[in-house]
Order: sequence, then C-alpha cells, then structure tokens
Amino acid sequence: MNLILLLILFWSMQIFANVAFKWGTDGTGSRRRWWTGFVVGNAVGAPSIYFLMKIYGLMPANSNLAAVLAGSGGFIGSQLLLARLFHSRLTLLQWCGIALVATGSAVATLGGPTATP
Amino acid sequence: MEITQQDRSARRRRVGITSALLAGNYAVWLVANFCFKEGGTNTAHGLFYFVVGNIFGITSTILLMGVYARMNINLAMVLATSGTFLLQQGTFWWVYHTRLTGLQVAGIAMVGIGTVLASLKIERETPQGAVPRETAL
Repeated sequence: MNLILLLILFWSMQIFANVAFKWGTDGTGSRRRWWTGFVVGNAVGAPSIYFLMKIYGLMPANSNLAAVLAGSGGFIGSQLLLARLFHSRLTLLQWCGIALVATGSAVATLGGPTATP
Repeated sequence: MEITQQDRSARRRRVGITSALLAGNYAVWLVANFCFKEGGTNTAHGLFYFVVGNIFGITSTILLMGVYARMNINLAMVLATSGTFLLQQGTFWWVYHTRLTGLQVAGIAMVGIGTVLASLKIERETPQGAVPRETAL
C-alpha cells in the first residue's frame, strides 16, 4: 500500500474517532449516545494504529518524519472539522496558539537526533 | 449581565472537575505510552505491553470524553494533545535520559507557549454578545 493512501486512511480514522467522541458527549447527555460515541470512536480509532505501524514500516530511516506526517494531519484535520461541525468560536490569538502547538510538535519531532545526518 | 456568587461557584466547580479529568487523562495516557515504548524495545514482552497499553489507552478516552463534554472542543483537543506531548517528552527525558537537541527544546517550548495562548480567556464581542463561556476552561 502506498504512503499517501496509508496517511489518508490513518488521518480519516483519527478524525472520525475524535468526532465520535465529541458527538457522544454533545447535546442531551443521554447514556446511550455516550456509549455509542465511545464504542464507535474506539472501534475506529484503535485499529488506526495498524496503519500508523505500516507508515512507520514504509519510512524506516525517518520515523520522526513519519510521526509528524501522521500526527499533524490527524490533529489539524480534526481541529478544522470539529470547529466546523460544532460551531467553535475561538479568537484569532487562540487559533494562533493551536497553530503554534502543531508547529512546535513538528519541530520537536523533526529536530531529533535521528533526523540529522 | 451580572455574574452572581452562585455562577462563580458553579464555574469554579466546573473548572475543578475539568482540570481533574485532564490531569487523569494525562496520567493514564502517559502509562499507555510507557507500555508502547517498552513493547517496542522489549520485543519478548511486546504483546503484553501492547495489550496493557491499549487498556490504558481506551481508559484515557473515557476521561477525554469527560473533557470534551465540558469545554470548547478545539481547546479541549489542543490541551489534551499538547499536555500529553509535553508530559511525555519531559518524563521520557527524565526516565530514559534522552538527549534533546536545541531544536527539540525549541519545539517543546513552542508547544508550551501555544498551549498558553490557546487557553487564554479573551471574551470576543459578537453581534449576539460575548462568546459563550465554554470557549475557555
């Protein structure tokens, strides 16, 4: 399986799991809705680790880059979709903070000893 | 609109519960990460650590859902993600004596500053009034 397909699969599953977790806690507070969100979120989120391991397998020489590609796509995709679905209203400064967290994670992961020649 | 004493104490209670759920999520997810790390390096017990790590990982989602229920979803996600990232980096550095490069330290600092910025409670006026309270913790 090629890298792009694996990344898309992993990102989609991570984003779906996060939406399911939030959906389960949103609105009426019914127990049945909570359990549905919890089970569906974990049923989709947990197997996504299989694709993450495949991504690491395709990039054995640069696991740091693999971690950034996999992690940042899921994080940014979830942030954007969740903001749209749940009508999130954050200030510009707060969005800058979220962007700084994503960038900082990438810098910290790529700046590791294995990424340097 | 006037904020009553009852509103303040309800808010304090909500902040306390949310903070406790976040702290619990950090702790449980940290244990899961230790298991995954040990499972990766100690292949003889790989399956054991994988199973135990996933039990802790799934447990952490219960706490995470508790946070999601009480906060703005984008803030909840960034606090959960950055908090576990910072805690994991710090703990792995301390336990496994990992050597961090200057760039890694800079990246970790950026995550810390980003988390503080994202958590700042700044009321934004809109045509309907101030932003809903759930925007901030």
